[in-house]
Amino acid sequence: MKDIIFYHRAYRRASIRGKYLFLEFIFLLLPLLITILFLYPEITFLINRFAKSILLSSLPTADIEIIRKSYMFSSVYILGLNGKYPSVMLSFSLFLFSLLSISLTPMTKIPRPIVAWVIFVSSINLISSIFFVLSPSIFPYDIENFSEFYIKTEVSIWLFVPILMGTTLLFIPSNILVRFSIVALTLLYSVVFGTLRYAVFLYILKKFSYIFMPLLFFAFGPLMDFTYMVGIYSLYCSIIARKRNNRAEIGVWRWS
Amino acid sequence: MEMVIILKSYLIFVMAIMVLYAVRHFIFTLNRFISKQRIYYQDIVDSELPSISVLIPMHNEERVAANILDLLIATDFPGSKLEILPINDHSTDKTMEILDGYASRYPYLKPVHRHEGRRGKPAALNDALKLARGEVVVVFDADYLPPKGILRDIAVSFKDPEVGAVMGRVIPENTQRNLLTRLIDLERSGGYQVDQQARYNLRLIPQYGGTVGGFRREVVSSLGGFEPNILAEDTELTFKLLINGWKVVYANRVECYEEAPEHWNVRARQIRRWARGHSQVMFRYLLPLLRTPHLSALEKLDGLLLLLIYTIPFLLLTGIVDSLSLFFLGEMQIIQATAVFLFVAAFNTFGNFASFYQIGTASLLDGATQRIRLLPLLLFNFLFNMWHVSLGFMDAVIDLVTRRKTLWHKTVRFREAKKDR
Repeated sequence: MKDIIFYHRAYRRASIRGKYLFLEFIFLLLPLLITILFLYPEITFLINRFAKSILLSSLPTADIEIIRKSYMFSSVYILGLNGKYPSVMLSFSLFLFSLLSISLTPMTKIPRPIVAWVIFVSSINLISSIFFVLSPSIFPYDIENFSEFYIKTEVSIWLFVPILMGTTLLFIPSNILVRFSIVALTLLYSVVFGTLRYAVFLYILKKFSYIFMPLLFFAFGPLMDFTYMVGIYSLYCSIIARKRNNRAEIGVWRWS
Repeated sequence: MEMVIILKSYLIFVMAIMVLYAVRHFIFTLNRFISKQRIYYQDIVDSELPSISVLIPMHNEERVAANILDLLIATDFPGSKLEILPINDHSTDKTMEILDGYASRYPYLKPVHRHEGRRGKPAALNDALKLARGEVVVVFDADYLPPKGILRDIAVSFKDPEVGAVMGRVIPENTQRNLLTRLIDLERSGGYQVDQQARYNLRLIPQYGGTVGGFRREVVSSLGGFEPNILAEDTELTFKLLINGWKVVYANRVECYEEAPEHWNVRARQIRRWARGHSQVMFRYLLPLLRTPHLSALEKLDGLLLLLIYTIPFLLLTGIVDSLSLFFLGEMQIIQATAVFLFVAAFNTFGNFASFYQIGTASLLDGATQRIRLLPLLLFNFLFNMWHVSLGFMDAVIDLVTRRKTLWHKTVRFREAKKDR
C-alpha cells in the first residue's frame, strides 16, 4: 500500500509565489555579479601568480612575467612567457596518430559517443598538425595571446555562472539561501577549476609547443565549464526531487 | 578579408540561432513548471465514443508482436467499436504466423499482409487506411505496450470537432538496461513532460508523433494519406493537418511504454532517419506553413522553429568548423570572449534534443530522484547526436536534389519474444 498518493505527474506543477520571483532573481544574481565585477582584476592576478609559481616549479629556467591588460571596466592580468613551435617530428607524429585514431576507432567496440569524441579531438589535432607541418611560422598566436584569451574567457564565464545557475535554479522550489549557496559554490568551483586548468594548459603549451592550443581551447575549454555547471544543477535537482517525494512535502505540488 | 567577414557573420548567426532556441526552451520550461496547465480531455465520460481502427505497422516483429496484441485485446474499449489491423509489412520472420494465430481467435483482429508494393511505414499505413472502417485511426509502433484505458483516452479527444490528431506521452520501459536507455529516458522526459505539454499549454504546435496517437481517418484520407517517400510520416501529418485548419492536441496523461534502442548503432540509425524525415518535411511544408491562414503568427513561429529543429545540429557542426577556421586565421581574438563562450554554452544548452534545464524540470515533475544525476553525461551524446542528425539532414538535402527513392530502415528490437502465444 502506498503511504501517500501525490497528484499524477501529468499535470502537476510547482507551487511558487510569483510576486517574490523577481526579488529572488535579483538576490541570486546581483551580489555575485557585483562581487565578480569588483574583484575580477584581483582574482586574475592571483590566478596568474599561482600559474607562474606552478610553471616555475616545473620549468625553473622559464622567463615568466605577469602583465596587465585593460578589459571591460578595469583590467585583467595575464602571463607573458615564450613558447615554441613544434618540431617537424612532433607535428608529423601527431598527424599520423590523429589519422590512425580517426580511421581505426570507429572499427573498435568502444561506445559510439566516445568514438565521436575521439574523432572530434583527433580531427582538431589533425588540422593543427597539418598547419604546423606546412607553415608553422604563420601560426597567429603565442602563449601570451592564449593567456589573454583564456583569462578574458574565464571572466566571462564567472559572470555567466550566476546568470545561468541563478536563472535555472530560480524556479526550483527550495530555500532561497540554499539556492544562493549553490550558485556561490558553483562560482567558487569555477574559479578554482579555471585556475588549475590554466596552469595545466600553460604547462602543456610551454612544454609541448603551440600544436595543442586548438585542442585545449575547443575540446577542454568552456565546454568543460558547462559540464560541471550542469552536474551541480543535476545533483541539486536530485536532492530536491527526493525531498519532494516525502509526506512532509505534500503541499509542494499544485494541480493544473 | 571578405572570407573572414563571412566566417564571422556566420558564427554570429549560429550563436543567435542557439540563443533563440535556448530562450524558447526556457519559456517552455517556465510555463510547464509554474503556469496553469491545460488539461487534456481524459476526464470526459461519454458512452458515444467514435469507432476506432488500431493500426500497427510490423516488419519482422516476431519479438514484440504478441506483447502489443495481448495488451490491445485486454483494453477496455467497447469491442463493437474496435478493430485491430496489424500490418505485416513484407516480414520474413514469423510475424505473419503470429498475426494469423491471433486473427483466428479474435474476429476484430484483421491482419493486413503486404507482400507487394513499397515497404515502409507510410506505404503500410496508406494500404491499411483503405481497409480501416473506424472513424478514428490509432497508431502504435509494434514495440509499444499500451495500457488498459488508452484507446478510450485517445478516442475521447475526437469529441472536439476541431481536433484532427492527438498525441500521447512515450516512456521507455527498458530504462534500466544501460546508459543509452537511461539517456534516452531523460531526453524523452524533457521532450514530452515539458516540451510537448508547454506547447499544448501555450496553444502552439504540439506534434503528432506517429505512435501512441490517433487521427481522423476521413480527414487524413481526404488529404491524400501519407507520402511514401517521407521518412517522418508523423511530422508530415502534423503540418498537413495544421495547414488545413485542424488542431493537434497533446495528452500528457495518456502514457504508453516503448522499447528504447539498447545499442548505439541502432540509436544512430534511428536519429539519422528522424533527422532525414523531419528535414524532408521542412523542405516541403515550410512555405505552406508560413502562408496558411489557419495559424496565428505565434503558431507559425513555433512551427518554423519546430521544422528547423533537425537543421540546428548541422548548423552547429558547421559553426564549429567555422570557428576552427577563424582560429587558424588569427581572428579569434577579435571576437569577444563573451560571445565565444555564449556560443559554446548555447550549443551545449541545445546540443541534445532538449535543454538541460528542461530535462531537469521534467525529471523533477516526474518525481525521478536518480536519473537527473545523469544530466552531465548528456555531453557524451552531444557530438554523437550532432553528427548523426547532420548526416540525416544531408540525406534530406540529397533527397531534395536528386528526388531519389527512400528506403525505410526499421528499428531493431531487443525484447525476448513471448513463448506462449
